[in-house]
Amino acid sequence: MSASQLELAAPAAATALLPDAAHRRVLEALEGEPTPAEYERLASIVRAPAVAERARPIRVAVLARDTLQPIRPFLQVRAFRSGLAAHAWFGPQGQLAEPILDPDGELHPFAADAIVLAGPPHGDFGVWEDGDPAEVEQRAAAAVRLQVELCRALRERSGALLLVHNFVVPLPRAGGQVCEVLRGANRELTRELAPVPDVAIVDVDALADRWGKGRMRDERLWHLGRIPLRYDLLPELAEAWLGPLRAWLGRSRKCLVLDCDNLLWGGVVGEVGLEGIALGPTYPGAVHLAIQREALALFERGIVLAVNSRNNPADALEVFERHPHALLRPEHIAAWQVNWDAKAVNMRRLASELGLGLEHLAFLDDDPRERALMRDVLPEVLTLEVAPDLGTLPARLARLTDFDVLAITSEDRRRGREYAARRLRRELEARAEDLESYYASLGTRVRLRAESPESRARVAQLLKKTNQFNLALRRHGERELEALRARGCEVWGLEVEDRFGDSGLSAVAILEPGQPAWRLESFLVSCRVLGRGVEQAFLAEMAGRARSLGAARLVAEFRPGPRNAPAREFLMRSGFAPLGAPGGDGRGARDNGGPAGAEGPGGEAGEGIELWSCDLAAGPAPAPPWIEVLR
Amino acid sequence: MPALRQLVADVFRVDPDAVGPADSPETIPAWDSLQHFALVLELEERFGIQLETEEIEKLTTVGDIQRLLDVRGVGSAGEGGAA
Repeated sequence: MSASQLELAAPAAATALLPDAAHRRVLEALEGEPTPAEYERLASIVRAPAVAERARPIRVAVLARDTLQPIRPFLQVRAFRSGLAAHAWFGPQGQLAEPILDPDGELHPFAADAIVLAGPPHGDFGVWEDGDPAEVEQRAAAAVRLQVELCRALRERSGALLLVHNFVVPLPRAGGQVCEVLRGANRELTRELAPVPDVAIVDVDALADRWGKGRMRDERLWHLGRIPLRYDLLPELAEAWLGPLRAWLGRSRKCLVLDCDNLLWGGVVGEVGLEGIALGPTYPGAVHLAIQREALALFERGIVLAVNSRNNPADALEVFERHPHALLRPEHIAAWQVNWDAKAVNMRRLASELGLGLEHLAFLDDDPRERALMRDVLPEVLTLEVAPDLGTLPARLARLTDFDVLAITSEDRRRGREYAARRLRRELEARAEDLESYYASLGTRVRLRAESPESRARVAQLLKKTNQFNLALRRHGERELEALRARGCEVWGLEVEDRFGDSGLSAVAILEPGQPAWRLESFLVSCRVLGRGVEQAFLAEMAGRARSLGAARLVAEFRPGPRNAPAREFLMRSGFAPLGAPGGDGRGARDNGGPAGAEGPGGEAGEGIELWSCDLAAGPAPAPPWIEVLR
Repeated sequence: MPALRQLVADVFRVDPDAVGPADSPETIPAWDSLQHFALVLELEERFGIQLETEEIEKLTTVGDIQRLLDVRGVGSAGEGGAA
């Protein structure tokens, strides 16, 4: 038979699937642990154009010293699971610096969203020769220097997220120094790369500890093809790349929604009662305790927890309140939907109650029918995979990178706590006689902060993640913020606190001075603090700043997005009137406001922008009386 | 042979009925050195065998693989996962 016959036969099976069926097939296969060949098959499904075109394309370039090409199908399938269609490009074997420095090479035209630097010299995954301590130290220092220089060179040439592997500290040999030296090298690498914007260190040393350093390679494939990892570990490496990449794209999950019976405890509490459920130090309660422990660990990282369960509310709540072994307590849960309605309906309620998009929710349920239904009805929600043996679930939860953020700020860590506090606020709200006295009872204080090196990561994070109350939807990274400041823009943040807690930096505005109009280049408020006049107070402050420096008008830029209509209504309410699109009535504002706007990472800024103008002699509305403004 | 043909077809995304003993990287374009490793891993998984480094290097046709399976006593079983 001929080669062409073979090629013709190849894609038929895969493309015959309708996109929805393909989607279902892939996600269901991931409930188990597919073998490498199964991954290859799944990859051929997700590569089919009809399936891939419904995902967001991402381009990943990989520069590695060892052979990492086998990761391609794993990367594609894992990316597809979170709605991404990954296109991967691999640099020439063993070349790290060359593709970066060669302006005519393939790397730069590939226009990667993320570039993986997977190759400290002397081996990606722990092939370090021991030797004279001084010499080992010298080699390690040179390796760190090279990584840092490559990152800096890349940073000048590309706006991509850089995913930098750290060094795998090898297994100790008798009398060797190399382990201690490499631990130091990893610390040094972290320190040196901290000031480089949009860099995420992929902690492959920690991954290797999890995999087992003595058993993470197939020695045969290492010798035959310099393949540094067993194929069954490649999905985890792919996830380690995707975690920070999703965070960078504003697509990480912020909330874990939990089922109750047979997940957080064994048995059905409505049938067997508080004493009858399995939860505690011995099997099978130990498994459920471990699941609770993982959920709590996510809470401590700032992940919001919510409950979606078919139960009598009092029965479920009793476990959280009174069970002696429960780790999850009512104060950890930001929202409850415990009733007999369909879980998808409850999911929508939770999203709106929490002010989060469905795409920020993850759903954990032991019942495969509930999972299948959720995937069908609400594909935006990430329905987490659960193997039939629940005993495997805690370790699997610990491996998830869906909740990753680029750098965990102190605001992040507080988030779970804060959403739970918000539930208490809402309960108070329900009791308050009128809204205004409720707001007054919150004792909200806001503090204006000029952006500083300490707050930069948080400012960039808010720009990336805020979808609802965000006027221009510009996703500036730290680099673009630098550029904005360099051309005279002012970047302002707002810290918010009330008697239930401190929300930290929760709003960002970017002002560009001009004559006679100042431009409000970006304005966003985290939905965590919305709905009590914080946005009004912040806008009044920004307007006051422009007015005091001689501006006659403030021109706000608004770009319609999927969920930011409330922000436009806010402009309307606050005394702004539309100027029309740039090039029409709004041209004046741009001409006065300096060079044309900074482009977002996607380069789509400028299209569909509406300009809204406010006469500063008359407006906008002042801060509401119940908010105390500290300057 | 049916199990082996199915396996080759699965790994390289080709029609199992069109796979014969003479097929090799020369006739199956997807059979490059990396896919060769994928083939070996799948072979080990489905037939419950373990290949040595040298054997992986030396296997270059479907017929070679069949002979190896015969020597290991799993060649005619034909079960594997896919039959």
